[in-house]
Amino acid sequence: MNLHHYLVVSAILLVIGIYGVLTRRNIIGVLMSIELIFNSVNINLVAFNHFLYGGELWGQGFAIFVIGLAAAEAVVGLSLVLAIYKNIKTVYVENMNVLKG
Amino acid sequence: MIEYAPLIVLLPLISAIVIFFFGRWLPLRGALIGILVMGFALIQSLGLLYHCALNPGFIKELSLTWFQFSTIKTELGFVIDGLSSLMLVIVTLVSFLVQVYSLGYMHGDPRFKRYYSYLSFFTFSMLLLVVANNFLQIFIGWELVGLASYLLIGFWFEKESAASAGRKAFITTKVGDIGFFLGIMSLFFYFKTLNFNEIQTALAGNIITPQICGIIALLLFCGAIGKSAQVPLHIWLPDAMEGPTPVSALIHAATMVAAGVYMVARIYFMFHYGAFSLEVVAWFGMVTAFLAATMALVSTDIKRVLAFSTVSQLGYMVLAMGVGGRTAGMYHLTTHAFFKALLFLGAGSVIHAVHTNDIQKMGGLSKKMVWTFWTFTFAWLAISGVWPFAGFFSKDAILEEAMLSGHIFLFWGALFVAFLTAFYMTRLYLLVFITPARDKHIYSHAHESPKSMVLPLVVLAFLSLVSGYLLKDSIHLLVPALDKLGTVPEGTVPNLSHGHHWFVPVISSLFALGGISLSFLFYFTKMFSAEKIAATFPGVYQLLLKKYGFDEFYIQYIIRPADFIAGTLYHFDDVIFDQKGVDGVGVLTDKLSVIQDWFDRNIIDKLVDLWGDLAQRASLFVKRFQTGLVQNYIFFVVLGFGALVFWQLKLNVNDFLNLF
Amino acid sequence: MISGIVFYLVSALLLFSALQVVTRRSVFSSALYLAATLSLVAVLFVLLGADFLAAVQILLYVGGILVILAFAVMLSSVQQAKLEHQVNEQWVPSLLTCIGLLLLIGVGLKRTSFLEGARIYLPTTEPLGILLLGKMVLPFEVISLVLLTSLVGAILFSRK
Repeated sequence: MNLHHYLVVSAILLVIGIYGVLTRRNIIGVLMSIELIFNSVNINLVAFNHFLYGGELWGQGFAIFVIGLAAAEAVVGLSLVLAIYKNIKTVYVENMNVLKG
Repeated sequence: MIEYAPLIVLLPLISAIVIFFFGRWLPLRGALIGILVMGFALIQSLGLLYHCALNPGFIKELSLTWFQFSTIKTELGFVIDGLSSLMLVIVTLVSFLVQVYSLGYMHGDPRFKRYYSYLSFFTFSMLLLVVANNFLQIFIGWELVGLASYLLIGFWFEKESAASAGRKAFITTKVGDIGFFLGIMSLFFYFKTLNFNEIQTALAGNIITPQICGIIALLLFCGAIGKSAQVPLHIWLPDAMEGPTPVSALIHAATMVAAGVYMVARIYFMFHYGAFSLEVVAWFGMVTAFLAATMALVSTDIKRVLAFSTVSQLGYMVLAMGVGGRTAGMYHLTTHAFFKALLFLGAGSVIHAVHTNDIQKMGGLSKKMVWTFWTFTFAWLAISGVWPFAGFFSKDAILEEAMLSGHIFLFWGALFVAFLTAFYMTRLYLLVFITPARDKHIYSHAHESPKSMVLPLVVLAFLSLVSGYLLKDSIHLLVPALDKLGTVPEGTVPNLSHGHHWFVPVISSLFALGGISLSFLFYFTKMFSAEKIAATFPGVYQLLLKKYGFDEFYIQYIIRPADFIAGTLYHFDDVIFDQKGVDGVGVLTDKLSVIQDWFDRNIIDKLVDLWGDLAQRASLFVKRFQTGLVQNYIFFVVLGFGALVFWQLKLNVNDFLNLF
Repeated sequence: MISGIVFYLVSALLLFSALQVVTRRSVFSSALYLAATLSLVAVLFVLLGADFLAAVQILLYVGGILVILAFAVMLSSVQQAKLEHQVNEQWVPSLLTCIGLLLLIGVGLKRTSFLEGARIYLPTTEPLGILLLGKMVLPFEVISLVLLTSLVGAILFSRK
């Protein structure tokens, strides 16, 4: 299994994640799609690291940081979601259009 | 002496100006200045006359160049010879006497000072005319006396009749002046100069043919027709009686109307050279004399009778000129000036006393106004041509000339006019003074005039008596007859009282006395009745009363068409300019403004609206993108990213084929 | 050969799970499928020789983030309309866009050929630790600040 395969997988994962971001009505669904994108990125990084940079682990280090950031972002995002939910009692994105116009 | 000549002319002008502006503060409101100036001028003129009489053939010319264009010169000239010095005396004497007379006549008139100013101005103009040595100056003087006449006729301009009489005089003489001016222009065209002497000498050089000279002479005579009230331009003189009587005496009896005769005398060489012009002139004079005498027969206004008489006597003078009697014409002019002025001043005295012009209301005034009566008697006898009064001699001179020149018809015609003259003057005399009073009220109020008015009458009466005899011989020295070349024959003193020495005086006296006696029979003894004759020939009577319908003819065929044309032109002009011009501009502006409004509203406003609309539509369009939904925004981000990738990849068909 | 089969199997499951994440109507189901996806990614990491990372993936993602996610889902669950249509109105253009994007990435992939090196399967924990605290110490410190910030933010948001 060479690099290309892993890249294709991560590409498909990325596209699925983008599709989810654009499409999901529930805001938590959007956040989950973002996690998918993060993961695709991680796969990319690790795959490149494995196939092209033998011995070095910079890709993996980067991937760890990505995971950390993903975590931080998920925390903040979800607390936002909860705060919003407390306000407007709904989690559907189409209702969150105060900036409309 | 000759050095004073310019002074004679200029002093009256200065006095006119001084009286006009400063008269309020001068003694007698400026009249004194006028009289003193005129007296001085009179003395100088008498001196000049004496000098000229003693030196026959004396001629001295003073000339100042006025304008000079290379070779062409216009000048202000003073020529002193027998002719002009005679006229100077006449003008200054009568003007002086009239100014003295006016002290009494115009006493209390609110425009007294202006009257004297105008009189001085008139005298200046007349003197300018008299001493002229070139056509331009004579024309200037001509026009100025016309102006003065207008001002003085219409002096009481509150009266509509006086104002229109002034206008009539001015315009009628202007008609004559057109011909005069055409004549002057023709002369200038041919001779390039307007000086009398130069033209006279140039005539010998055959520059123009006698025919053309005759035509030019007649054109120049047109001026005399107007100014000296010959038929057909005589219509203004009867109406000019609206002015104050002293004015009538000065201007319309003695001086201004004589200007035409004087002018003919001055440029006599032109008539001489021109073939047929003298004939025409003579006939003009004859017709005028006859028609005017007949008109005087029926008039009942004292001044109007005298006006017609003046026209008739002017016709006499012109007739004299026409038959070659230059000397006789000037002789009669002189004597006529004196007795006609006397007649007018006497009439003025009567009018002043009875406050009416209508002779039918007068009568028996010989007892109430003694001085006036006796001086008037002298004038009456003078004009009727009774020996030894002045008119006898001058009329005889004319009749002799007529006979000598061979114009038999004119001779008998002139005799008949003399008969008529005696008749109507006697009629006037009888009706005013001798016959019993018809209006008791007027008769009771009549009184003699003040001394300032009586004194001139006396002077003039004296002159009416003696001037004829005095001038009998010296007139030939002063105004010599011209020979065929138009120059004065050297050293000869032509004496015309030869041959028919006794015939003319006798027959003229017969006619005169016949006229007087017939008039007595009509009006004093009532043997014949004027009313019955008028009733027997009603047509003739009406014709005479209407003055041969000249005025009506002119009004109908000249004035009305001119008025009509003027009115039409005015109306046309009015319509064109008002409608097309003002209204047109208005309508045009209106239409333009409609277009502009349309433009403004539809294009400019729409343009403005367009941008607003555009902005609104753009914003409405763009607004759709601002859904407020983040997913839409992210979609565009992704789309943009995709587009970026797309462009960077630079796809070709192989890529697609290799994809799978 | 075996790694090939495993790879394909894992990839298939991975992609299937990912699809389920984005298409399930119930959010909770999506969350569970997300868990599966993340786990399978960890397997993929193992296949790629990143053992420590796989562990970190499981620990953090599945054990941390997913739990929070589950909490959020539970706390904000809407009782009614649980089976509502979960895809919004722009799914057609986004589908097309995503497929296009996939194709483009595919084209890009097809064009490039990588010069592969040796594949080394060594334990990565110690080298990773040395790396993190050695050459990557700055990001390490920074990320701790980031985590601190996010913690503070989360607390702030959840206060009354």
